[in-house]
Amino acid sequence: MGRRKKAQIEDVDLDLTPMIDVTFLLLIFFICTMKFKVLEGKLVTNLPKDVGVNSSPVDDILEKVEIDILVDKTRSEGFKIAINSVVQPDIKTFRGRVDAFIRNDAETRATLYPREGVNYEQVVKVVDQLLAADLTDITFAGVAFDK
Amino acid sequence: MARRRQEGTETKMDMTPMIDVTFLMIIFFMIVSDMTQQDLAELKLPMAEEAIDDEMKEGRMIVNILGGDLAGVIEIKRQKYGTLDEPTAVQALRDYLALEVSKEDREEDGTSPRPLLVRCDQYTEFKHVQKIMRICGEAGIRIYKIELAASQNEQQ
Repeated sequence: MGRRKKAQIEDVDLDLTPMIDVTFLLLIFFICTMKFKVLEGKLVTNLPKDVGVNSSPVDDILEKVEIDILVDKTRSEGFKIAINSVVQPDIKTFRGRVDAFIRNDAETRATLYPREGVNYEQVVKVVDQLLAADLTDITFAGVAFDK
Repeated sequence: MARRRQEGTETKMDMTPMIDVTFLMIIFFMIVSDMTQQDLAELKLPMAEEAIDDEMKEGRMIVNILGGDLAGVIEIKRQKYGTLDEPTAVQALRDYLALEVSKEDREEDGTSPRPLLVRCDQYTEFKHVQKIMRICGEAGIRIYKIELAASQNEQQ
């Protein structure tokens, strides 16, 4: 009797097929949805917080730099930059001017005016130069909050 | 008779190594794949030397603006809504931002402390980003922190 019982127990085979099926489904899912980590960063900017007329006198003391980014197909980079309405001959001169502003006042603020036709890459180039010059207070114009 | 019996015996394949390898592959893919990147559309981003690392936090606000033939089309959480000239896309963006902003307390001046990551194709016009910025400024949303996504130099 004892021998028979032992023989019965040994015969029980676990059916692994459903587990393998599920495992393969999981594997296929992960292969399909997988995305490798990308080298991606961000440039931090702000929008104006002001609502209505700003009567704060602090803004008047701080030096403001207004930067226009305009399309210029005649240039190799496809755009031109103007600081306080003065067009800069190239991006190096622009950087030099920004450095000068920062030397004069470390808390200089920049307001960007990307004009019609300017693309994302061109704006990122300008923001990148500003951040490289340690000008971190960057605001985009023309998007004031609703009252 | 003895030969016949031998022919009839079932040969069982040992599945254990295969299952081991399969599980190892699953573990590998689970570790390598980053679920926080699922909201990132495939875009060609401009290079920026000063771009800081993105923490890739789960639940952050991301709006993608596509390029090429779909220039200006916004994509949020893998769903395309059309350009922001279409009222349905504007409404979808408003709803998304308003919902996300409501998840966290506002600052004293009524603005949201949460940043919005804007990912835009490098050749897409910036006016599409400006349209998003305008919506960010609307009452009920009031997001002022805008992060512009850019590629980092591999040597950094």
